[in-house]
Amino acid sequence: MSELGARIDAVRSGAAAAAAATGASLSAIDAAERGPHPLHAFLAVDSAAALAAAQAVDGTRDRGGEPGPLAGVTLAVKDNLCTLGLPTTCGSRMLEDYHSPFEATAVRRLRDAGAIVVGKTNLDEFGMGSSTEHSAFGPTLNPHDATRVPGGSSGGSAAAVAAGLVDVALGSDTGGSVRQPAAFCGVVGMKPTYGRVSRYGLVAFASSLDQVGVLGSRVEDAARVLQAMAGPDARDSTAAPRPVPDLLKALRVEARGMVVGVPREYTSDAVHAQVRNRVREAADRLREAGLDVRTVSLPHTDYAVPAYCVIAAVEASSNLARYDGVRYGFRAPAADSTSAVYLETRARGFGDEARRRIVLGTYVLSAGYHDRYYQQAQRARAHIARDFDRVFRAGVDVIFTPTTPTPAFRFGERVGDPYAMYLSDAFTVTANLAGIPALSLPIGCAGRLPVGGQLMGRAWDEAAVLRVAAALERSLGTEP
Amino acid sequence: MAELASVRLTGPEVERLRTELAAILDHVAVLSELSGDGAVGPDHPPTAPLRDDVEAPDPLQVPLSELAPTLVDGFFTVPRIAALDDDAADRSTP
Repeated sequence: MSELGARIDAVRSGAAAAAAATGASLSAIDAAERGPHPLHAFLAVDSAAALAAAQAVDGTRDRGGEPGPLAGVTLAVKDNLCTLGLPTTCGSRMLEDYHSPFEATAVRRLRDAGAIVVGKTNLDEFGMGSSTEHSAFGPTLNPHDATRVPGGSSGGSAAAVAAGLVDVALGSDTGGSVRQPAAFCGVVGMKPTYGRVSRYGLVAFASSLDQVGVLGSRVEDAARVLQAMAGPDARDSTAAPRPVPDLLKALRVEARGMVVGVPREYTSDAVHAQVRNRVREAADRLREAGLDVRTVSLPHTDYAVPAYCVIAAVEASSNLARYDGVRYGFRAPAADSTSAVYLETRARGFGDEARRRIVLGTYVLSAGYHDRYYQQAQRARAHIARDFDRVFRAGVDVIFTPTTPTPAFRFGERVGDPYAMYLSDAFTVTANLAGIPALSLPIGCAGRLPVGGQLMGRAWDEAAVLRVAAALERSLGTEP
Repeated sequence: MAELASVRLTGPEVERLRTELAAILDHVAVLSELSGDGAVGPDHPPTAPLRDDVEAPDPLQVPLSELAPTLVDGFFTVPRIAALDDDAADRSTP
């Protein structure tokens, strides 16, 4: 059982108080966000509400009620998930003062399970980015090296967990935005199957790719949170009416004999040498643990980033059309006509990356270009999904790859070259395009920078991914 | 394109975006190599499930009336755009 699991048991039994852990979390956040190099993981913290919620959990337990399977767990929420009582800015000037009148299903379910929401975390604007440098409110630092990015777009959530400020955090993953920052910050990050977790209350970026994900220190911690928030939701028609298996039970099932595929396309010389070495060592550990590790091929991998670029931009241009200064959010002052309201609001409310994706998405959908770009991107998506399908049908249980081609890069290194930034998601976008579950866990270091290994599984088979991840975690001894 | 996307850009921004988008489109041009109908197996990607064709409860988490600061005759009200006051005045002039 993880340290968090033991503490949950202690809170449930009364041996420990949720209020104590929450108080410690809030003190740690306060210390980390002050001083000469503030981490800037958080955009908003509500100490009073968090302490009140923790006291309520303790009170429920003391009265003989059910405090919940996540009793007293401190939780940070990425600021593109709607919450009551805390603003939802999406890291954008467009929603700088926005307070949602409703709460995301994922957040609501975790609160009902006894988790304590302490604050909202920083992100690349509207989830668009891989470094958190595109936040309108300034970047987050990587806790391992303050000159490097934490990854993105869920950089704040990853940094908050890595720095020990909270037990777990929610993120969103459209092309790797949970897994890539998890790899850069040395924590576990999981994106479930598309449709496993309700997107109600997740501010839409690319609706066919977005999923709510979880970050934690241990595989078991991620499994606990996923168990509590997953499942059908009448408010999200894309949340599948499938029961959620017992994921914690799956962690305890022996992984010996499972088949792990390592795609040759993910271990080329373009990958940082130390990342390749850590992946090779981790594969050896899996073999030593009795898993059957074999080389496989996913031949359409090179089309993944181009396809993702197009599809994500198209869907973003559609989803962000709602920000027009009329109903809510920022409205450009002194706009002298209706069209000026739209144009000025969107020029000043959005940052560079959001505007870039909106214009790109508009272009590739326009007459004469739709077939050349969007239709081809969808074709690539289908090929990529079929590659995975073929490998899984051949008997592979999970696929193992580096999470990212490199460890965390330095601030400013890629922000001026958009495509170079997209390439940092080269190994993560495939799972979003295919809709399959994927998890990143720490597998060692490159110097003092964490390296992440990624496991991907069949649709709806989070259990297999978690099982192999837990086995690898035990083999490597990478528990914090 | 920026006008079609309802985003006003300055001259320098147009030039910068033109360069950046050209570079991105150069990279995504590789998609033209692909052929085939891209048919996939039954497990991928997860298709949107169809629900039964029956009336479902209101999916809103809170009543409609609580989704905006003010509601008049069933319509959400939003701040007026100043220029529209001038337009309304012009139309009312005989």
